[in-house]
Formats: sequence, structure tokens, C-alpha cells
Amino acid sequence: MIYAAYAIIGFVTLATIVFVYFGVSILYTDYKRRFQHPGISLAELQKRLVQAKINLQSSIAEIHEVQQATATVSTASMISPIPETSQTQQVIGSTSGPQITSLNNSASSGQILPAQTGQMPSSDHPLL
Amino acid sequence: MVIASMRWLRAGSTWVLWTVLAGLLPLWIRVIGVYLHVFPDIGWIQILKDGMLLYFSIAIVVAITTYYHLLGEHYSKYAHIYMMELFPAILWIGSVIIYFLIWTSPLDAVGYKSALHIEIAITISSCIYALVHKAIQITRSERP
Repeated sequence: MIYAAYAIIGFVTLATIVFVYFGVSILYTDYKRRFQHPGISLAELQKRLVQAKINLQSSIAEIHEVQQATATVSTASMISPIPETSQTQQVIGSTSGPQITSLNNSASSGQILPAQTGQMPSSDHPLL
Repeated sequence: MVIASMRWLRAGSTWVLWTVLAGLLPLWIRVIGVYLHVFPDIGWIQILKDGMLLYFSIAIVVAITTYYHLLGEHYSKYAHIYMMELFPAILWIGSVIIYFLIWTSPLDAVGYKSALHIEIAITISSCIYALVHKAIQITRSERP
């Protein structure tokens, strides 16, 4: 009985030691994850920080360039609108109402339009 | 940092200490009674036959294991198999076998002493089981 008891106690003690080994290894892993840096030195961290700063600055510069280019393009489009071609005039003429038709008729009949000459039209102008 | 990292040990020890104090209160009352000459004998044989230490061990192990499974934050594969399945099974099966052995077999004085040693070993193992698990749970709950 005594030997059997000692064997059981020894078995339970051994099992407890293995259990404590597993538990301490888990605690050590958690401790490392929490209190220690995961394998990167301070110098490496500083190097990465400097590189990240350079990348950020170049990205900001690119954004500024794109903004300036966008502003230039929009200003240029406001100053010089796209000139109407004869094709667009035709399209406008085909879809517009009788006023446009009369304008075309007056242009084709040899009368000078006020916008082309800069003169004020006389009171007997067909459009007025 | 080292002191802060030892908080798990303090918390786990406190949990186990209060559990042992409260869970084995009848035993402590008996011990105090014997020292104060209120009771003539501590009655180890009766304590063994009652299975007080074994019930206490089983209750601790079941509480810790059930809470672990409810928590859902499992250990790695081998640690989970050993710590949460094999080791509790050893303690449960050992407790049940010892309890029925004491209850059914006619033991002499040496036999009772051996059985008492086994019960104490199982109880200490259960307390270590609780301490380690509580320490891990407290460490993980404080993880940033």
C-alpha cells in the first residue's frame, strides 16, 4: 500500500511539474509579448522612423504638385472656352427653335450681326 | 516593470489563498479547536472518509476548467490538451479512485496515512492548477 501510495504521489507530482512547465511557458510568452519589444532594436526603429518621414514628405510634395496642376488646368479652361465648330453649330441649329433659324437666315442673307461688328443694331433689325 | 509583471503571482496567490481559507473552513475550525482543547482529536480518519479535501480539489478544478472553456480564449494546441484535458482528468480520476478506495477498503493506520498523503498531494496539485490558470487569466486580461 505504501509503495502504491508513493507511486501515485510521484505520478501526481510529475504531472504537476509538467503542468507548471506549460503554465510558466505561457506566462513567459505573454510577458515577452507585453513588456518586451518584438525583436527590433532601437536603432532599427529610428531608421524606420526616418524612412517613414521621408516617404511622408515626398507624398505631401506629390499631393501639392497635383493640386497646383489641377488649379492651372481649371484656370486655363475658364479663360479660353472650347470654340464652337461648324459641326456643333449644325447640331445646335437642328435642335434649337425658330430664333436660331432666323439667326442663320439673317447671317446667310448678308446682314451683319451686332456681335460680329461691335455696332449696335438699328431698330429695324429683324431680331429686335 | 518587474514588479508590475509579478502582479499575476500576487493575484493568483490571493485567489488560491482565499479559496483555501473559505473552502476548507471546517478543517481550519477543527484544527483551531484541537489547539484550543475544544476538540479532543482532529479526526484525520474521519476527514479522509468524509472526503473533504477531495471534494475541495474537484470543485476547484471543475470551476477553473469550466471558466476556461466559457472564456473561449484557448491556449496553444499541446498546452490546451495537457493543461485543460489531461491534467484535470488525472486529478478528477485520482480523486474519485482514492475516495472509493478509502470508502470501501478496510485500511490500517499505515494505509490511512498513505491515503492522507495522496489526498494532500492532489489538493496541492489542484491549488497549483488554480494558481497558474488564474495567473494566466489575469495576465491576459491586462494585455494592452
